[in-house]
Amino acid sequence: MATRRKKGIQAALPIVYGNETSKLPDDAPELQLGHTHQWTVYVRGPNGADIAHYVRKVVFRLHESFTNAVRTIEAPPFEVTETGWGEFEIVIAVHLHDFPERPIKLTHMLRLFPPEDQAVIDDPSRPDLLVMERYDEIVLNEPTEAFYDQFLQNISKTYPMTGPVWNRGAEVTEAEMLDRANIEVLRQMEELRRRIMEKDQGLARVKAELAAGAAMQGVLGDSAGRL
Amino acid sequence: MNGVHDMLAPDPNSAGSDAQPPAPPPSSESSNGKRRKAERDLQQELGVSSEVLHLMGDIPPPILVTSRPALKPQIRHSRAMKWEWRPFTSSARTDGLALRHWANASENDDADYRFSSFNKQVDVVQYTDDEYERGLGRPDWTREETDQLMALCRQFDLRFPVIYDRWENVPSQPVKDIEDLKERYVEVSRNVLSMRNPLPDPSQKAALASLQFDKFKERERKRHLDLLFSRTQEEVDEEARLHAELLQHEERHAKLAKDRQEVISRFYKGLDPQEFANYNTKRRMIREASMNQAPTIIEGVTVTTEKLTPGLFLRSSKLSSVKPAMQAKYLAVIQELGIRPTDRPRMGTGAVSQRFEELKANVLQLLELRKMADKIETDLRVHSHKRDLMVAGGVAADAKRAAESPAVERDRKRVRR
Repeated sequence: MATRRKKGIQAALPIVYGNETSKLPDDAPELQLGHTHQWTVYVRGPNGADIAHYVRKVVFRLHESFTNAVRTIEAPPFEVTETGWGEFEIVIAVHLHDFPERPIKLTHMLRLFPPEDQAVIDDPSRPDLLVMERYDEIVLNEPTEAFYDQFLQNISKTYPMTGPVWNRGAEVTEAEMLDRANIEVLRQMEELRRRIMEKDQGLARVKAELAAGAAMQGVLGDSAGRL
Repeated sequence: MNGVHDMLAPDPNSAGSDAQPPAPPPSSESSNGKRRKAERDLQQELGVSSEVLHLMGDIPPPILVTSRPALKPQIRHSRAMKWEWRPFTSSARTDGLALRHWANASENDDADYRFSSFNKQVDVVQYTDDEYERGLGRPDWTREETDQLMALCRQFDLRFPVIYDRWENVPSQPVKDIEDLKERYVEVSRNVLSMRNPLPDPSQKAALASLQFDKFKERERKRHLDLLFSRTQEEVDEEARLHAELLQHEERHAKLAKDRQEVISRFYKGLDPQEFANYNTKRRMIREASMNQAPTIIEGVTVTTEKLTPGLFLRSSKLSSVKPAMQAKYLAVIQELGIRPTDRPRMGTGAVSQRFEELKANVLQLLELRKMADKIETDLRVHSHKRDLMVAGGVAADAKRAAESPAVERDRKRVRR
């Protein structure tokens, strides 16, 4: 291969994707079409980090009722803004500069109204918008040297993560919570194992008693006098 | 009756099948008559019943049925003929037996019997005494035996099973097998012909070469056939199975050999003398470089020595899934532990995802242990109950026995025996 790959190197590229939405103002002409909201579906770096260095293009597949439902965005910002009234699933394909033949597939349910079951991101930097955003990472195994160099050059634009929602503090908090849960589970497992062993021994004893009793009864006959 | 055809495409001329038209217009009558005549002709031509005809309709069939070829001689005589009981001669007969047969009076008498040309004989070689002396002798075959063999061959047209059947073994000579007879015949023929024609031309040479008979091979071949014929079904199946296995083995062997060759060729390709020169220096340089580097931990980058497949993926896509049956229980436990019941972490970085997966595995194991504990507990309870019953029963039995007289107990014991 012409481009060499960095062996043993795994690079993680954080992204956030989702949609922001706001109700259309009362004087908006789109209201005539029956639209209720304006929304933007996007793929960004967390806290405004620059992803254009890794991302070649992003393809958003909207609902077929939209004209040109397949929107290809080849320069930042990788987003699509539209007006509408319906909520539907958007399929997003993120194409990087490396591994161009393997885009990353994301699916996002466009939300215009706050859902009951999911938690809404409370982003103080975007107070008037309803934001449904997800954090994820694109992991590259053995990136090309060129890609890796670029990554290292731009790394300060991503790490350390500081911002209102996705920041190191949030990561640490979640990790600690999971750690605590893990410890608790392991403790319960230990307890259960002990209990199981005790019960097992007890069971062996009872079974032995039963066997002995049965042997005795065989000799004497049971209380009904039958043989 | 006009059948299906008229039902499907009603003819404007015809009324119902049995209905009499009250006042049929003259035109329809004539056209009907024409149609009927055409039908009859078609019917006769095809030789089919009227029902079949009406099924077909007016469409002529694609292939017309031709009359069958005349296999028997179609003899049509206008008047009776005279036949007479007549003697005849056949050139096939050598004994001059006077036979007679019925022959047509008008037929002339002299020609040879019709079927005498079918009396073909095999050209078995006839050797002279001189020829025998010269080159046909053999220790295990006497002259008489050889003569007898050739005579039988001639008589029975080289049908060796019959010849062998008629063969009489001479007591002083070794017993002859059917293969021995064949061999001797072939030998004699070949030797006689080569003696008579020492310089054969190519076509004769070919004919001579065909006079080969390998007695032992023939015996083996027949033995093989016998064995083949007398196999049981199990043996047949067994053989088929072994054959398939053999093919598999061979395939595997071939593949192995190919791989081996490939490895060897690759090995030798790499043994470039230039590469050899570079090898040690390169190695040393890399080692030094890695040792001199101060280990730096870059956020977002993982350096592993494990084998990595080049590629890319979304981290959340690699999370293991929980079976739907366990899903509800799993989420319940998660919630107990104070974690939001979701299938993926909120901020799925590498560190968080790793812990998330660990927790998932642990919780599933915990559920397994809980199940096992429940099972053992119920087991214990059941057995304890049984044991308690037994104890109670035993106590009662003992009490009963103590109340009864010893004689009854003795009797009971005796009855048991």
